[in-house]
Amino acid sequence: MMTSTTATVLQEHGEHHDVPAGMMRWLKTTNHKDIGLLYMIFSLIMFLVAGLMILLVRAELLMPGLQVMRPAIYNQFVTLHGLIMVFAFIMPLATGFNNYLIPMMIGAPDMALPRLNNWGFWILPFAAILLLIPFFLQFFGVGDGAASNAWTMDNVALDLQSGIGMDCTILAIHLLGISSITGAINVIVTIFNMRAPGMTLWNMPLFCWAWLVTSFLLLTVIPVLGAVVTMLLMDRHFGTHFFIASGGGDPLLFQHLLWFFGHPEVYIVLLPAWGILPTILSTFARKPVYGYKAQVYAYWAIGILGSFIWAHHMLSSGIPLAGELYFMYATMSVSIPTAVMIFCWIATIWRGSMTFETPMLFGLGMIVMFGIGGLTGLVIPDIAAYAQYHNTMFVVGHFHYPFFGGAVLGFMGATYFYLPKMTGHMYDEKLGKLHFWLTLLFSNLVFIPMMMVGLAGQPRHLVDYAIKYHEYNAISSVGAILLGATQLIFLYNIISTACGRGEKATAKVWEGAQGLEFTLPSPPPYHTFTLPPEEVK
Amino acid sequence: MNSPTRHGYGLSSTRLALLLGGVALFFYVLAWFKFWQ
Repeated sequence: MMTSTTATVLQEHGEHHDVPAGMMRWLKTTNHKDIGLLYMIFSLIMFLVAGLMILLVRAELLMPGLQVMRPAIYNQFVTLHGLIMVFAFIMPLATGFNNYLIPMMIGAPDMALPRLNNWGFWILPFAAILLLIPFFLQFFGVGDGAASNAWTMDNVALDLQSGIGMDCTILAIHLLGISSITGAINVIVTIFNMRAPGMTLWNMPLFCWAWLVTSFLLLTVIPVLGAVVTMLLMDRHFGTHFFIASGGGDPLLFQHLLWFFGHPEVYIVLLPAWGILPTILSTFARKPVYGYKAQVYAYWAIGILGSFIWAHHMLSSGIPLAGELYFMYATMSVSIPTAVMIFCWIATIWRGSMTFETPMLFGLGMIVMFGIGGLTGLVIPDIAAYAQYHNTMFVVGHFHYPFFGGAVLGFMGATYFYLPKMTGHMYDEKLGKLHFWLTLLFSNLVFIPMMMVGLAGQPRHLVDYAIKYHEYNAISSVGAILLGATQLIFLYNIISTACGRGEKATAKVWEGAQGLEFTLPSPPPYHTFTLPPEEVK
Repeated sequence: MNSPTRHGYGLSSTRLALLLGGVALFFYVLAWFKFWQ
């Protein structure tokens, strides 16, 4: 029982740590909710930047021939779109959610390493500036633009680009990598050391488990990305020959190292969304999560298997047949734990008392869209058929299903799910539902034609295409513009909710909500669980 | 916060963070195998 002296000390402690105001609050903050919000706002801005870039790309692809931009600008837009969406949008968005939610979910007062947390975030804007600034400098006669050899930065065999764009990208990747690694260390330490008494690992919400696996993946593959871009920098400027065949190097080594990072990256992007989905489904089905342990084992199985299948991205590069066979079967085997997870999701809502609020719609939409991504992904590593798919628009259409249909839809659902908790106000449900249905419709309008035109033979990355591919490209471009416009509804809904337009949210927000975060008021106070919660004891 | 370590498996948060940083460094060095081969 708390003595009066302890209570006084705690009260004084609370007053001492009152909510700071002004810009310095955000620059110096070590509060996990502040840093979580900073991550989310940053990622939303970068989502709009990279989205605008790809709208210009789709405008160019509306018709065959060159209409809107030079090929060099087109290549830069495609590259920046990929790099920003992966490194500066989805990953920081997932990190924002982990910062905001994990301490509250496990009953901790903050992340274990709050200063490292602040540092990890404030690296990001500088990395974003480094990525983008060469693009603008080219219009003033400085350099030849931003990186333009796609997000895989394949700058080895043909020396595709020699200017400052690639160098700035390499430096930006280092910064983004440091941010990811510090974030991953923070999550692992927080989960291992900061759980409230009674909150065992097997009691944690699945989101925490998903982030634990993600963090170990980050810890093992991001350093490899850091190493490969350092080697690239040395090959470019310091006379080494890691990847230059004429100097005894191995161009294929670049691909192996990059994809050793690149394929687990898919799961780094997806796992946090897979972790938040069961919470949304069980809330609106008013049933407990089905197969909790099975899903945790599935996360680990996907994370571990997913780290040893990288060369399915390189099946046309001439690796030995035995290697091709291994990577084909190993890749396909990932579908087993993935299917376990999907069946658990379906079993969670099976015979539930379901209602279809916006987060639930996004959750269900995510299952369908991710399913399409998974199924189209199963055919690509087939070594008999790979040559037809390789480097075509089919691959572009395919990977947007897990990335957009899986991760982005999942986090849009999570945004609607937690927005009332974060802001203390309900969002506009009608606008939310409109946003969902239009997003679902238009995203398929963008990505299905990409797969069709890819199967017909259109290569990816190219600014122009044969007239026979026109119809599908026109449909895809119109879909992209409509999809982009639809996101303004999302933006409006977030801003108006943050400004307090909607009705007041209760602490529990949703009738079926479970979890420690829903025992706190909406919005939660600046400091939460400074004393361990009683609920889990 | 009463203590930086509420649960713990015998390692303080700082030591665990340093250990994990070491893991990251190990993978960074490992990726250079072509260099020290």
